[in-house]
Amino acid sequence: MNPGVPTPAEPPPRLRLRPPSHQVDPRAVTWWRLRDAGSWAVVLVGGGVVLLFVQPLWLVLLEVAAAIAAVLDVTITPRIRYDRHRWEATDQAVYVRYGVFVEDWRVAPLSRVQTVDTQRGPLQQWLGLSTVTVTTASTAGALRITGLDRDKAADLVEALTAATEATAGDAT
Amino acid sequence: MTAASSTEPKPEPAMAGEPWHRLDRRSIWVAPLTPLAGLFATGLVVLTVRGWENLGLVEPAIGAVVAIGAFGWSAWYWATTWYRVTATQVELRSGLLVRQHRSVPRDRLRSVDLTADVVHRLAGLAVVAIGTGRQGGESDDEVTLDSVATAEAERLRVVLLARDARPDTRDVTAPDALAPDAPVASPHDDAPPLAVFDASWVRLAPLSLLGLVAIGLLGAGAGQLARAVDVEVFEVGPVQAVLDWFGRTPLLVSVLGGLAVLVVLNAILSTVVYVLLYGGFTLTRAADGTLRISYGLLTRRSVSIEELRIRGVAIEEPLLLRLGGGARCKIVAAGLGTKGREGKEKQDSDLLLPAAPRAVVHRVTAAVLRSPCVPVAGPLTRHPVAALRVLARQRVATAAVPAAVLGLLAGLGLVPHWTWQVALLLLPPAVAFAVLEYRNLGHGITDRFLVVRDGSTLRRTVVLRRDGIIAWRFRRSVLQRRPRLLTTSAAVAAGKGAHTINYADQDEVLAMARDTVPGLLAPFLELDAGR
Repeated sequence: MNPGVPTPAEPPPRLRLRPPSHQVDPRAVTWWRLRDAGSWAVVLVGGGVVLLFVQPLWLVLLEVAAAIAAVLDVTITPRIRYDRHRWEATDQAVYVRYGVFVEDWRVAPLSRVQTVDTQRGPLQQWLGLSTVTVTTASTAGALRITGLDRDKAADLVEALTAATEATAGDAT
Repeated sequence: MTAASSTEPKPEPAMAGEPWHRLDRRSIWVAPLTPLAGLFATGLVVLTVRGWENLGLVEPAIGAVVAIGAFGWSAWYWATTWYRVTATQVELRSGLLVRQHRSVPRDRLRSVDLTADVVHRLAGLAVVAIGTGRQGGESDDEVTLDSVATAEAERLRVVLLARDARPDTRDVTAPDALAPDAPVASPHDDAPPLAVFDASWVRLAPLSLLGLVAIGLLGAGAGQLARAVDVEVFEVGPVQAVLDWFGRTPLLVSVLGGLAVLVVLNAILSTVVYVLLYGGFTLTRAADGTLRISYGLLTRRSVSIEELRIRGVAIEEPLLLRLGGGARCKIVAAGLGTKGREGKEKQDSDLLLPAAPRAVVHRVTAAVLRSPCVPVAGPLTRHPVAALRVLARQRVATAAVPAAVLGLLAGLGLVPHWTWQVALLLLPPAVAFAVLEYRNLGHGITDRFLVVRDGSTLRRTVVLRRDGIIAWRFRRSVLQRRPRLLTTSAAVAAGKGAHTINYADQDEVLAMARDTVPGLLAPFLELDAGR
């Protein structure tokens, strides 16, 4: 066990990560809302079918609790998520922030980016949204920008791909 | 035959018609021998117990069919498997009805792993596994040759890793800045080893739990055998005697006695297993820019890793070993997860040093990283006391779950009340673990390395090359916000992907991350005017 280092005489400056400059498309709120509503609906309908046959008290309570959680989740969290989820791409690095209860910031230099992908699920296609995933050579380092406008996402992918192709080596 | 081309010059010119090789013909007999030997040994035991007079015609017939089948399949595999090394690719094709063709670009090869168990060694054969730096997903681009002659295996090792036949001079500042053990690579001969197995290491062996694992395996095997021969385990003489003794002696004595026997057995078996597994350990820096790690008295293992791919070293100290003044080392590098023929991940493929005295561990770490000083020897930055509070809260909350559930059930009258009271006994150890974990937290940077330390009963200290960090990740839960604790992960293209500094002081760790990889993080930081 190493003894603690004596702390420096002056306290270090108070630092924080600044918010990335861009927000995703406002339609993303609708997308998250629909997606969450869909998964909650599966849970609630499943519980409801069981309640048709047996009505133990704990299951009724559970179903009510789930219904309240679902309403809160569908009405409130998409907005918070929209506020929290920000991104930024400079000519040096990609910087993404997300998270509702656990804040999560990720930074990857463009010189270490391996692939840039877009995904669009059925709901996203209908809303004209895209998710951009930036992967590095590490299994833990993927950055994801969810709910970008389709055309903006295409531009971003093009710019990132051009920047990563400009760097030599295998980005490890 | 396969080894016909062993006199080929190392850097082969590009030729389109590179000939295909077969595996060594002897592998037809060698590959099925170990499983068959186990089968026949079991058969013999069964027969001896049951009595030879019961032996009919059926059992030998089944045995013969199984043996013929195994050898037949092995011969089929040999006859239909071909491999070759071209200027750019390693290719393996096998099968006739279902054809498989796998080709791996040679510039993606990161490690070559030769394994030879006793039978293979007697026959002069080795299994060659070639690892690539592919991270994540199905590592389907690994090539395993089971098996080729030892000379051919050595030739493959040299040829496959020789593509970049110069040591990593990129980050060696000056020849005299090297550690005393890091010799200047001579063009012809391998340098003297960086570490060699020493009898004094064996004194650390009883501190591991390898023996308990061995006891478990032996017990399970014996139980299975007993079931096969219809012997009731509890009616065997010695077992019966032990059970009788347990029945007659007071509880305290029997528990203490049992523990003492386990400890002694573990110490003996651990030592035996340690010597068999790691005896003859040698770590060499070869002239072609690879590290070579070979060990094993029975199964001989020899792993070569391209030095350029090494991103760091992880020092692991299980509590007992640490108290005994020892540690073991692993390599943090891409392309080390090689797999065997049955697709199972091989153990120890990232082993750098088995349990050894701390001084040796530090010396080897410095030598492998080509660092003039030992990066872990200096003091690390401790984390704020608030981290202990967060850790303790988490551990205690987890440990309180059984008591809470049992208490609820007791309230409903489903279980007796003493159950949740007993479950409360989990709380003191939970606090102890949190304290241990907190005391192990630490991090620091040196001129070329980032050092990250964590773990409770297993303390891990990872020394990462700063230029190997390819991304940062910062996390903060709601609980961490007010005490200004930030969890920081450095992602590397190797091993498990990211190394995490848990619950560090936000201001300090952000400044450190900014300095670790210059220019990356600075644009995204701002002064926190206060809240």
